[in-house]
Amino acid sequence: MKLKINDKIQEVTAKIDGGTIYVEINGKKKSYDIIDESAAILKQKNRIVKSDYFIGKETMIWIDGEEYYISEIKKEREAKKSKSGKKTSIDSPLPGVITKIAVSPGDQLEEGDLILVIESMKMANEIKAEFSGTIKTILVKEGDQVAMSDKLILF
Amino acid sequence: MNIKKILIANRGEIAIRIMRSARELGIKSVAVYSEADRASKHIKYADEAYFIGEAPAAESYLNIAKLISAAKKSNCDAVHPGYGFLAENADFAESVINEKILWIGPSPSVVRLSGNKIEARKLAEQAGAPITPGAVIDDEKDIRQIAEKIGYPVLIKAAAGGGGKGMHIANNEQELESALRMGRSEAKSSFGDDTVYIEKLLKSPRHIEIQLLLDQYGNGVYFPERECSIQRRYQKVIEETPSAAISRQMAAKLGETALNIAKKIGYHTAGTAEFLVDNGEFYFLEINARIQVEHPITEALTGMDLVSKQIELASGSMLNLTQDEIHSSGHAIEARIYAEDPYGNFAPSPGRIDYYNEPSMPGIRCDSGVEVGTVVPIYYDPILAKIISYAENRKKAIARLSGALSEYHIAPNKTAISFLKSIITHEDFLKGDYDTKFIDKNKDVLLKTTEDKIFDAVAIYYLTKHRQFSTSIRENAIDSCWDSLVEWRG
Repeated sequence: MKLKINDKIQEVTAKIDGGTIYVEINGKKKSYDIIDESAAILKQKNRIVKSDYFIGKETMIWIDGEEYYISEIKKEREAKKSKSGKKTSIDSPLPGVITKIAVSPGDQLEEGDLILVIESMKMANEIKAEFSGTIKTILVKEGDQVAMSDKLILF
Repeated sequence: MNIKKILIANRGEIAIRIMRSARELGIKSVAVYSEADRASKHIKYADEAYFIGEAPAAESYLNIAKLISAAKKSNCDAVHPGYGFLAENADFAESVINEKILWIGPSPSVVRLSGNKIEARKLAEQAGAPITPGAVIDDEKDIRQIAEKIGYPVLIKAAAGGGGKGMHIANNEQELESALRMGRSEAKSSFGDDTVYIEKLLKSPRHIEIQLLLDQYGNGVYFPERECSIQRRYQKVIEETPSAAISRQMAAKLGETALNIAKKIGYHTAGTAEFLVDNGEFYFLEINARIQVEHPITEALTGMDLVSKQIELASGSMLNLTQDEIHSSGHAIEARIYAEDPYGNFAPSPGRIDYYNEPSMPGIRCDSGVEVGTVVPIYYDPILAKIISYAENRKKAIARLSGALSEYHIAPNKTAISFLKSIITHEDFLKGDYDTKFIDKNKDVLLKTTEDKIFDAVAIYYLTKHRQFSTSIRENAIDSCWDSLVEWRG
C-alpha cells in the first residue's frame, strides 16, 4: 500500500498473520508481536512499542515524542489524477477568508504570479500560480470564507 | 482603589490566566465572547459572560464600542486587555477611563507613546539606549529610498504591532512591494491600523527582553532577561530565562536601560522592553505596553505572580519591592503550542479538537485555552496553549520540557509539538548557541523523522486499520451508533 507519512509518500507492505504484524519498507523488514490489540501495544524483538493514536481523516500516531500523520493513498484516486493530466484549478491550501483577489477572468498568468490572499488566524497567505495558464473562472470573491481544498480559480 | 470585578477584553489562554489571578485576589471576572467562541473554555472560568458580536475580530474583540457596552452592562470596575487585540490601543484605554473604569495598563498617553515607534525610539535615544536604523513609512513613495539608505535586508513591521504580526522581510527591492502589502494587510486586521515601519534586519541577532514592574510613584524593578530568539515567521515559539548567551553584566545593563526608558516615559504597571543583541552590542527595539505571552517563565524563576502585581499596580498600590528583593534561581523555559502544520509551512490548522491530552508533572505548568470539543476558529491568533518548565538548571529544565512535550497530544489539528521537541533537543540549542535564524537554518533537521519510529508508526497504523475493519463488521452486526471511522484512545 502507498502511505503518506507526514509530508512523504512511501510504498509500504504490511500484513497480519496470527499474532504478528510484518512491515516492509524499502526492502527492510521488521516484525511485531501483538501484545494487546485493543491498546495497540506491540513488541519488536524485546522492545515494547506503545503509542497513543487518533484515527480521523489521517491517523495520528505519537511515538516517543515524534508525531506521525499517516493516511493511505488509494489507487483509484491516483489513477483519476494522472488521467486528467494537467491541473486545471487552484485549490485553497488552507481554511480562511479571502482578503484580496489580484486577478480577473481572462488573465494570462505565469508561474509565481500572485493570485489572491487568504487570511487565516491573522496571517496573510499569498496564493501564487503554481503553473502558467489563462484564468477561466474565479469562484470566490473578497470576504468569502473558504475551507481547505475548496476550488478557488478554474483555468 | 479596591477592585471588585474585572472585565477581560480577550479570549483563550490569556483570558483564563488573568481570571486565575483575579480569583486569587478575590475579584470577580467577566468574560466577553464572539459568535465563534460561544462554547470557549475561557467563558467557563468567568463569573459572568457577555456576547460582543460576530466572529471577525473587528466586530468583536477589536470593537471598542461593543466592549465598552459590555463593560457598562457588567458593572465592572476594571478592564484587563490581555495581549494582542486592543491591549496596546490607546483609544480603547481612553474609552475605558472615560467610563470611570480602571484600565489595567499604563496610561493612554504612555500606551500611545510606546506604540509609536518613532517617539519611543527618540526617547530611548535620550535615555542612552542604542537603536537599530529605521523609519516609519509615511509615504509609500519614500520606501525604496529609505530601504536603500538603511541597506537590505530590511524588515517591514506593523507600527502599532507586536507579536510578530505584520512583520515581513525584504531582501531586495523586488521583495519590498510584497512585504509592504502583506505587512499593511496584517497590520490592518490585527491592530486596526495599517501604518508600517521599516527597520534594518540584523545578521544574527538574539532577541532579549526585560520584564519590568513600575508603580505610579516612580518606583520600578527589572527582572532577569528573557531569551526569545527561537522564532518562526517572526513569532516567538520557545522562550527561556535567563539567557544562556549573555553575561550577567550585559543582563544588568539591559535591565537598567529598560527601567530608565520606562521611567522616562512615565510607564507604570507591567511592561517589557525588547532588545536585539548582536555581536556584544545591544539595540533597543520597543516597549510592549502589555503583559506578554511569555511572562510565566519569569514567574517560574522568581515565584512572583506578575498578573496580580499588574492589577495591584494599576489600582494604585505602591510597588513595595526593591531591586535587591528580586530573587531568582534555576531556569525556566516555555514552548508555545499553535494550531499549525509544521509540514505545511506552518499554515494554520483550525477546526474542532477531538483529542486532547495535556501533560502534568512536577515543574510543569500548562496554560491552555482549549479542551476536547473546542473549535479553533480561523479568525484569531492560532495559539492554543503554552507549556512552561522549571528546574534548578537549564539542562534539567530542557529535559523536563522535552518529556512534557512527548506527552502532549492534540488531534486532529496539527501542531508543532514534536517540532518544538526537536528544537530544544538540538545540539546547538542545548549548547545555548542559537539566534533568531535558528529555525530557518535547521528546518530540515528539525522535521526529520527516525527510520525505526516510522516502522513502529506503520505497524501501529496497520494494526488500527485492521482493528477498525474487524470492529466495523462487529458493530454493523449489532447496529451500533458509534461511528467506527472516528475513534480514539489514550
